[in-house]
Amino acid sequence: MTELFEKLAKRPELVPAVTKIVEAFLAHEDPLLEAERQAEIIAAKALIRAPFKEPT
Amino acid sequence: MTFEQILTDITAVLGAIGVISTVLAHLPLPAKYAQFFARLATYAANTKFSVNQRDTLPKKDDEPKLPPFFPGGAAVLLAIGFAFHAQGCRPSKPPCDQTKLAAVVAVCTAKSQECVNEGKSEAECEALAQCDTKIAQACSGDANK
Repeated sequence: MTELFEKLAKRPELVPAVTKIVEAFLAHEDPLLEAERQAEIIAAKALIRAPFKEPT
Repeated sequence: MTFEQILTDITAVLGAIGVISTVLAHLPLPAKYAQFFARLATYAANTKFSVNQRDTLPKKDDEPKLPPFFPGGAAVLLAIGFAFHAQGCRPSKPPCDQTKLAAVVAVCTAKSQECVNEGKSEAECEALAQCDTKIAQACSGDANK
């Protein structure tokens, strides 16, 4: 748990995704499925921002 | 199968129905259902076909015997398991709509590239906010609405 908080402190942009996963768990939904969904969302957002990261 | 055996089996089945109905009557169902199950449980509990089947039939020791709590015990376990499953598990949202997500990523990457070509920064590129919304929609489970 401490490790998770340390990782989240370094990557605060992941906090909403982790919150969604915990919410899914508390709502008796499948947390793994929610984690997969959040991973896809994060990957898609990173992909559309890739042109800004590339050296011009 | 003798007539007595059939009656005994019917009694056992009614007992199982009684147990299931008792469990169902205690679930948070609408009042009319709870009342119905409670009535069914009372009926099943009071109905008995008294036959001395075991005394009249010849004993077969080599025949495999079910535990004495069957089928009542199994019915209770099934009913409790079903109740917990129904209460505990909610259907999860479907995964991301891959087709829509791929389309959004393709369009948004092009828009993002346009922003880069125009010399805009990530914060200045307004299309990105709309793209984030579209990505969330594609993964919200109601993408095809």
